[in-house]
Amino acid sequence: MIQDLRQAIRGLVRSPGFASAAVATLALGIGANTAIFSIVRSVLLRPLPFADPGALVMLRETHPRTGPVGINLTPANFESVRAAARSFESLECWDLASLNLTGRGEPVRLRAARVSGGLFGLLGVPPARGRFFRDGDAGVAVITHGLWSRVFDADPGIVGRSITLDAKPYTVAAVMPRGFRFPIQPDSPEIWVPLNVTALSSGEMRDARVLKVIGRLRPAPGSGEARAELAGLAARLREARPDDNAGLGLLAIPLRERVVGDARPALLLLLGGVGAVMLIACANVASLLLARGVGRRREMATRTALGASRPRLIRQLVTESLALWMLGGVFASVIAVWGVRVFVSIAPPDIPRLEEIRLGAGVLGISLLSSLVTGLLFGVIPAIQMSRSRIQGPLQDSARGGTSDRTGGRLRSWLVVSEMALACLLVVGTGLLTRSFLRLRASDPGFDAAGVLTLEVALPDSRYATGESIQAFFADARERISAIPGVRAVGGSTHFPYRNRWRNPVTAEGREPASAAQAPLATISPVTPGYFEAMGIPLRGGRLFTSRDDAGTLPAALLDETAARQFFPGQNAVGKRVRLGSGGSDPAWMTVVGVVGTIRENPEARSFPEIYLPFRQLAPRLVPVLGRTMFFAVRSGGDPLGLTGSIRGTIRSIDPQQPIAAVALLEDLRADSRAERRFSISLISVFGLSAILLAAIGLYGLVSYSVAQRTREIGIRSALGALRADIVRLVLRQGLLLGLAGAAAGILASYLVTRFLSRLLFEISPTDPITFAGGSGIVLSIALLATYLPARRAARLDPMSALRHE
Amino acid sequence: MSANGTPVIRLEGVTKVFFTDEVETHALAGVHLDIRNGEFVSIAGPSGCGKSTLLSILGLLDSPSGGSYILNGKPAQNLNLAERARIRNREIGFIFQSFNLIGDLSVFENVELPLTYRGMGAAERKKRVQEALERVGMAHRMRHFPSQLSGGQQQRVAVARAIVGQPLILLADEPTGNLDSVNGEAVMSLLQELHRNGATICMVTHDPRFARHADRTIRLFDGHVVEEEEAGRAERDLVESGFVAEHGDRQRGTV
Repeated sequence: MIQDLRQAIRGLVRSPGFASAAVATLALGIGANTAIFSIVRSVLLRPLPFADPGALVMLRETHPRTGPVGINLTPANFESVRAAARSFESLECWDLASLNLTGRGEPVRLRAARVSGGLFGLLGVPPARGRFFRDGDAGVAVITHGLWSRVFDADPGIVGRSITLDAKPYTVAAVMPRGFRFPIQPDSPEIWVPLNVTALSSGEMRDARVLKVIGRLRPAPGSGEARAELAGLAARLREARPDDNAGLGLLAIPLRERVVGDARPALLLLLGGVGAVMLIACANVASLLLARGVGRRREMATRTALGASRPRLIRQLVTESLALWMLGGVFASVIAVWGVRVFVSIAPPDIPRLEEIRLGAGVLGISLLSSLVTGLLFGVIPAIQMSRSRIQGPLQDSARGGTSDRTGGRLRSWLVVSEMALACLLVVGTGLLTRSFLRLRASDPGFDAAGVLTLEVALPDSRYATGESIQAFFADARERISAIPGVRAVGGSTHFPYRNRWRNPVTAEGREPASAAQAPLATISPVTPGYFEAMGIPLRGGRLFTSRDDAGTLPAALLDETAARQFFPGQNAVGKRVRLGSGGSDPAWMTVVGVVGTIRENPEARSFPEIYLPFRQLAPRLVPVLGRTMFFAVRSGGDPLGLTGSIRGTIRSIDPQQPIAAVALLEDLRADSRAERRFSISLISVFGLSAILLAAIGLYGLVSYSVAQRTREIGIRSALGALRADIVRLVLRQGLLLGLAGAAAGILASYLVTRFLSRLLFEISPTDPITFAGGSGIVLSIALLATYLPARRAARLDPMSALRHE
Repeated sequence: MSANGTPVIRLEGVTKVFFTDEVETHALAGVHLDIRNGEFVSIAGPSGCGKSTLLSILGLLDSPSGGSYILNGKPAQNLNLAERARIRNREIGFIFQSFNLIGDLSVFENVELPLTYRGMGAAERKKRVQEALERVGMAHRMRHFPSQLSGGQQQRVAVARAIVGQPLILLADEPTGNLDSVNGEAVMSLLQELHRNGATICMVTHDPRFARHADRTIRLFDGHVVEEEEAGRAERDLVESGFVAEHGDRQRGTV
């Protein structure tokens, strides 16, 4: 075996061109595959970084009008479920928030979560320093390792120190270990403070669906028992509060599914794409081995003549293949390490668990193992083929007339056809995704994002306790920002596209639902005057809000066109009335004063009708709950980002401790919403391009080799009167037939496979004929190009030299 | 059949020089040669004397370095590639030592090939191929592939391919070189029969037994025509010198 290996390595050293081409192809194929696999493993397969993560579930409410995805729980329902559920060891909840950290120089807005006291215990991750708070604790905070390092300079005495959040004193109770994130999402919280669930469930927000709930299932009951128990609990909740809980269901979703579920299709798509590239790379190398084998027939025959058995020859050849593949595997590991780093650095933050992605020793082991397996798989077949050489034939070939036979030719053709088919599949897939993305990008969002700056101002309850004070602040802020030179329009909304949305059941006058469960859901946006002008949302009828729409006037509402059509089909909605909720105790009727264009922030997702309310008419008791954060849109006549300093100064001129946050161009918000898709498409395009390139190299190699083998035949044909064009046609025909076979197989494969892409496609069919035709056209063009070069070389062969060719 | 006096081929002072590794090799050094219509000429000489080079120039597979080549009354040394291919296809039939059949094509397809390049219709091609194969006695093997035939059979198919286009001249390069004596004789008989029926043949051979079938033998040495002999003379000379007997024995494997 050692001798085989030595000979194998010597053989590779003697053929540096062949060896380097094969090793580079394998390293790229296996390396890219290892990198993507390690990403998929980190994101989809590796357990979440909590104790016994398999037992963690998210609890969601379902309603007939929200579909199967589920929504947050109300505090009242959470308390009821927590008290009664026996399938769970514990149930905890949280709500996302933002807190202003002051007293340490510049005010800083922190991403925060208010969490119930047992949440950290449920997750089972001990703190790096200090201790967790418990239910009933107040004025304490747990911070991330990152915040501790960044803002508190990793102060070892941080535990027990007082900090000011939203102008209230808090004591730091604990610092979490490095890398801890909860909930796992883009922009995870940096600080956790206690949530008083009891107060919440007995107050104004008791029926607001605001709580995210996590549970740890008891080991004993299976998921079926938990499901049955939740069904029973839901029935009891429906009975207890038929108005609020009409049609309610309870759904437990594995936490991992909730965290990574959305990323799964795109990552599996990438894994499929890179797997296809690896197969093409391996097929290319197998093809190279076959070609090399034909050149070594005489050597094989000599070895056989000297007494080598066929298994002995196969062992020698397989050892050579394995040496090649293992060498490729070593370089593949380097490429994988580099590839993962590049992926993490350029990936959009929407990809869950991005920080956890790393290339472990296990994955490197898998890289080498996959090299071994593919090496055996793709090395054995050429070895068997090569070991079939007869003794007599190769040793006496030169004495025989006619053109040489093409050992391994059919197998190589099959390999190349498979490569072309896989490349065609990838090209079609990439084409579908790209066309879908282009349509998505070209779709009208319903607003004019150019020149619009957005920013967030969150007022702390310590200084702005009442609805009136909040409304006064934002009215003043809007007024002052509008006076900044260069500002064309400014307006705000408490709920903003791409940021946060508020959905509520609504009732249209004259179309009251038969039951509360049937009331349609609408997106509700309390907005200030100037919002539509700043956002560029067109008015379709009636009027927009003005500063006169306040608490002293009749409640007004604006409907988007979707709402107008849905609630008042075939009628003019202006003058009609709508109200929030579905029951008799719900707020007062609001008169529709105008209809505006529909916003489509995510054209792929289900769209809800949208109702705009004047922020000044929001009930003062609701303002501290729903209207403490205002998202401003500022339309600029020049560079919108240039306004940031002036706006910050303006806000400070009202309240020196008040920061602004989340400053971004509206165009960027829109682009960011498509970033993950754009990233996936970029990667799959790279794989598609690599696939077509590798397949083209494979075809070029095959045809070039075939031309070399057919040199004498080409000489004969020239002697018989074939023109150069005849020779070009002869060679092109061979390449194009392979290309056609590959394209046909690729189209068939695409037809069968692309349906799995339908979730990722927008306004395009998975079997879109234009894309299919384009994909096969690209494959055929590449096949033509890859064949033309050897064809031209063949046509230039000197007939005399060709006839003398052995 | 005897030659009618019209030269099909006329070479005047043809030279061919090869340059390899800065060495200048004169393969042909001022060859003058006329081949008349209907004549059977053999070109003989030792290895490396320029026989195959001369045949390549005659067959427009190669160009002379100097001199003139008149084929069927027209200068042929300065033709472009397409014109040379057209003349090879229509006016010249090749028979090679190593048969040079195309392994992937059936017997029928191999013979059909020159007619395909001529752009002839399928029906006409089929008729001509069948006739050619019948002439060489291989019509019953038209569906076979070269690998399924013996060497003698392959060379008969190669002869059929050479004559199927009814060329002006047949150029045969050691047509018996890869055959045993029995098959070699059979192929020579075939060429003789074609000659009797009017074919002009120019054959390169180093075997005096087969050279005797020609009307005239041209002997080359170091790129020069050193001797031209009419039919029968060369054979007599060689028998007298004992070469034929010795060479014949070697062919039979007794040496």
